[in-house]
Amino acid sequence: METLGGVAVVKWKGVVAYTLIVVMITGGCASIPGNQVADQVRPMTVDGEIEEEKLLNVSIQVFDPGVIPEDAEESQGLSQGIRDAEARFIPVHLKYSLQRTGYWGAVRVVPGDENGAEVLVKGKIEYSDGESVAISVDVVDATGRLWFKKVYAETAKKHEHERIEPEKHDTFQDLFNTIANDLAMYRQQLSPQDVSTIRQVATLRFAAAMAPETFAEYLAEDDSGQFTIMHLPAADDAMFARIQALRSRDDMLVDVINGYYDNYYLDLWAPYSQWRRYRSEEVAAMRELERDALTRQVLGIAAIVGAIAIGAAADQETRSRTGTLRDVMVLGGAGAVYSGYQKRQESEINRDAIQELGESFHAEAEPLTIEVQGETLRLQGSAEEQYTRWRQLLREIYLKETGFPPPEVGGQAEEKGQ
Amino acid sequence: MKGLFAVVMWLVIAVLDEGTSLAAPNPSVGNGTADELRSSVLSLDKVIRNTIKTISAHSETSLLTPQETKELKEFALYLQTRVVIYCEQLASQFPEQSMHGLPCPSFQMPLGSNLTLPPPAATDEEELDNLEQQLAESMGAFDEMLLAEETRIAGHRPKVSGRDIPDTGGHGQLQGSVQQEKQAGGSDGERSGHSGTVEAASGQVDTSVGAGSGQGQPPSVSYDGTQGKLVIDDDIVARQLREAAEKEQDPQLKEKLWQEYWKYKGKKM
Repeated sequence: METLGGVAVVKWKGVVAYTLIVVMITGGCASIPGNQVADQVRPMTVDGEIEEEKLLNVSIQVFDPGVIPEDAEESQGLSQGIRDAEARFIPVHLKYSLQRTGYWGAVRVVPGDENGAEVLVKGKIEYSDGESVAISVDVVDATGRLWFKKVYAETAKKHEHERIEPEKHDTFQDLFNTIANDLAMYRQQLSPQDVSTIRQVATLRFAAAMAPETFAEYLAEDDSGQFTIMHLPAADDAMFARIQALRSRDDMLVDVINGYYDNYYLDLWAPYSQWRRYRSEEVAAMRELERDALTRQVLGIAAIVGAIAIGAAADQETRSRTGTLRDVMVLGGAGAVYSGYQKRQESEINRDAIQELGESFHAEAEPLTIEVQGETLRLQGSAEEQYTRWRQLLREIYLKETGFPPPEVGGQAEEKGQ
Repeated sequence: MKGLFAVVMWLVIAVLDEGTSLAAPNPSVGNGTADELRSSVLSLDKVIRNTIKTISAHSETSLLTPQETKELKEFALYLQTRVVIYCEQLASQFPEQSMHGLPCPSFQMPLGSNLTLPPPAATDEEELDNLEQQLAESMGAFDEMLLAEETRIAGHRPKVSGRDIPDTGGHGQLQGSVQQEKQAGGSDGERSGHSGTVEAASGQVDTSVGAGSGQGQPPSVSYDGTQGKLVIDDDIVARQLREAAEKEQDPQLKEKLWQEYWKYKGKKM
């Protein structure tokens, strides 16, 4: 008898263990790609000031928004519109994070590929749900050298949603600081000659795009996209002076575009921060309720199964001796299953709230995104008209100055900003 | 910022040192004589050139921060626009006056104008000059476009100027009532209708004292509750003009700079 009773106890323990494993597995978060950044990352800052000729300008391209998860559970309350907003918000905050380090010259957000960029940062949002974010980042300089390519991830803690400040401290500041520190560490490895070459190549790439007939031969590009300087313009090169004047206009155009991005960022700051915070709270509450519901249901079922197992495996005497126990187990198990069901019903309220939060934020963000996209396109369109005119004038000036018809130039004549 | 003060002052002093003849003080320069307009064009052009020289020179020595460089560029852009405006006034109000020697873009002359267009360029050198001129004009037009955009951006008031989000307690407030809170303004007062709430919280009380009311008058101020101090409602260009005017010792040039300041403020208003 004891043996049979022992078997029942062993089975019962097995059911409980299985239950706990199931609860542990199903109670986790969505899988976030990339490595989690460290906590409390301190930003690297320059001691003193870097001389101007050693500064590199950074262009951060508007991020690729990526796609929202296919899984309906993971994408609850998310939308492509929210991603589109994040694809502009995150680069602007990264800009502020880089500016504060003192390692860089001008740091700007650019709407597309930047032909004259000294350092170009490209990013893609791999995952973002308000509570966690994962971003892949590629950094390449004007010579075509890839600095690094990494995926950064951070899951915010509750307090990180609270101590925030526009331009200075974001919910995911550890992630921004980590990216900024990686950039600064790479920059520290560059020699003064490296920096000078990057700057020269950036200028010549801009020059070749604006006046290919004059400057296309100054650079050579190999099959892997690496640029090498073949010649440098003379100090008193009149055409190069014109190019410099045009480049300063191009920089100012990007500054103006950044004015629109900065306003967009400030407009989005409060609704985006609130959405991230409240969504995280709702998700955490929902997760807790679901975990609780699952635990109760599984334990309830286990109690019922255990009661049946004892009844089936024991002899008449044991059955009569454990009758009360089995009744309690069945009733208790049924009660637990029911309370688990009720908990699950409660979590539906959180689910609805998450959905509504997403819709509400989407409704606020979308017009702002459309507006900033429109302004950027309008400015780019106006500028491109001017650039076309400038290329034409530079070509005519080249003809007058040299007396030669402009040579046919192929790949170097890439359009500025295309 | 002290460096920027110094640079702006240096630019003004450089103009004086070079013996530039400035316009006589006249509150109505906008409708001034041809000589006044010519003088304004030449003076501002001188400042522009010095500004550009300064940016080029100091970009090598890193005496200016990137922000100061940017501000100086905006300052130069603004002055360039003023030059174009004075040139336009000169061309329209005094068509008999020669524009020779002035850094004015070529204008589309109004119908009926008795001005004769310069003869077409005949030599390669003249054609080259003409192309250079077209390029410069095109850049000037671009600068004007950027200036207009800057003004437009500066006029945009972000919907949210708050620096933090107040703690509102637990998530429970949201459960099942997101939309209701939105319609009702929210029990915590900040999840919905955030714009007005946060702006009000910033404590900005406008106490303008008549911007543009007259030359030499103090500029408009407002009280910034977040900083607990009075702030002058100036953007970058206005601030540079004001700082230059405040520091200037020469009464004529001082008045001229104040004129430019109030014209700028008046236009923005």
